[in-house]
Amino acid sequence: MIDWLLAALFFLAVFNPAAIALLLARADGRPSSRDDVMRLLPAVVAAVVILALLALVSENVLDTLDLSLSTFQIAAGVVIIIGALQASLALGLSPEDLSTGWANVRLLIWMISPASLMLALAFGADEGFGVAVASLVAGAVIALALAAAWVGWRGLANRFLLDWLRRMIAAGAVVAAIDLVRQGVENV
Amino acid sequence: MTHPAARFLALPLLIWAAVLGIVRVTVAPAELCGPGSAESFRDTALDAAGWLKANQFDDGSYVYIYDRDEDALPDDYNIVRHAGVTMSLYQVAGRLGDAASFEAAERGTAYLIENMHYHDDWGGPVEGGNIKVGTAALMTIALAERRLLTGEDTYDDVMRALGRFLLAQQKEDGGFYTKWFVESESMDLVSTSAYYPGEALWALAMLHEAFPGEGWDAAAWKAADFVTLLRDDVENVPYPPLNDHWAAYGMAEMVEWGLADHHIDYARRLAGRFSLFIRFEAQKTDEGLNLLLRGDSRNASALGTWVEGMAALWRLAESDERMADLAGDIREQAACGADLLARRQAEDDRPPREAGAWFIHGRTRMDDQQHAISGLIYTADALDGRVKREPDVPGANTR
Repeated sequence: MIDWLLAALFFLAVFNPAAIALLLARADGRPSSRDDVMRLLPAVVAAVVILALLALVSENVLDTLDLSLSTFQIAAGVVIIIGALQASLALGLSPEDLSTGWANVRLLIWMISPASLMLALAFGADEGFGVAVASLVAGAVIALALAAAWVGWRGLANRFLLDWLRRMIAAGAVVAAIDLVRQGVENV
Repeated sequence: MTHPAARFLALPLLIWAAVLGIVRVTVAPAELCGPGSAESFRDTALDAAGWLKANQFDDGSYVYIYDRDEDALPDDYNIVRHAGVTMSLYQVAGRLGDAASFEAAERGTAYLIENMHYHDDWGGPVEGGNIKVGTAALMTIALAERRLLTGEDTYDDVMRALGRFLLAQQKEDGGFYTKWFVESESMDLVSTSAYYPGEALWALAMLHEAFPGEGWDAAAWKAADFVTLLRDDVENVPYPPLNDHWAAYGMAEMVEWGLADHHIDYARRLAGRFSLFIRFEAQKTDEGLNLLLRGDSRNASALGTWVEGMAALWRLAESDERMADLAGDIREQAACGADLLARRQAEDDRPPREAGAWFIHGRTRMDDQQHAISGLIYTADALDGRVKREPDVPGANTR
């Protein structure tokens, strides 16, 4: 249970709801409507499906790469740290015209970043498909819900606060990633 | 104006492809080892024993170092390693049924006996005017292996004398002084050794197994507590735990006595350390950028100890539920290391100074073969699911 919750929190930190809020926000700064957010649901579903499939074939991927799980955990930790730095610097994040298809593409790219791909593979190989997918879905749903709640409530008002939240969540991802590296170093 | 596809897709993809490529090369290169087979590992161990037998002198000592490039034998020797090599030859005789290895081990033992010095009720082999704890410990283990193999009590008194030397050198905290100066009849109170405590721990455990009821286990427990709780601090090990395969042997020997939680916690951490080292070694290709980033291959005396340690910890994991979850992974990593050893060994059609040995920078040292032999034998046993370490039938493989 603890493992599952920690994994879900890890996915949540990697998805970074504050960063997603920037993608869900309307370019004109007004609060996003429920329809705006729902329009982006395909991206979230597609991301979850892709990551779940990766978790399913994680052991095959590690075999193909000739890597043990422990070594992969170290690599995943490093990639997640880089991803978190990207999120904290707001690279690739800006409000979008939510009526275009690109909003979905941008959200999909954000959610299937190398960091989340590595995390899905690492959890899939370590905890098994069920736990990996359960934590992945939980992390994605919570991230989307938090982001949607924010932009529906504030839009781009208090951008300053949103930016700091994004950095703090990215810092949380870094801490979790360092612990993943530690596991990779210490585990058999 | 840039097409949105380029902005949204191409640039992130390019950046992340570069990042993943760099991570692959620097952090996670392929681990190039196969599972190997028990049979091939035993063959490799036999070939290595062949080197030891072919490179033993009449007095029972072995070629210490052979420099292939210079075709030279540098003038150097180390009696601690002599005892270890002799131990490994007894293991070959016991587990692989090689009578010639037993004869070579007997000559090695004769060399140690020849150098014994006795004081009060204890004794140990002398080199350079002193008796080292490491020599006494490894000689004890060698004789214990011989006892398990032959069923004979020929050297029981010597084993007890060596054991009493270890007791005389044991400190209050369970650690050990390092040596006894024969001429001045005094202990070295200054120097410390990172590995002697683990060697002494295993030796004391073997003594208790050989002579139950004589109280050797009390000293073994003290040594085990020292190794697991204090040693890394005493030795200022920068990234504990120290990769101590001797301690792994000792723990595996003591598992049936009922290890405490802190022993198991140490054993779990130790397994992780050996695994890290083996994985890192398996990522080396000795060429190009990989060589620059990861350095060249380690010698067999290093890699062999990690494999030995893992094989011992596999026996422990198979025997104690608190480590059972690691047993499969430990065995897999031991097999990975053993496979690396097998692939790096000099072919058996090479000249006698080379065949069956491991060379780094053109040199081999006798303990390269020793550690590889022990690691290979017990990893082969692990692959066969054989938890018992000692030979099956005393006396079967001696003559």
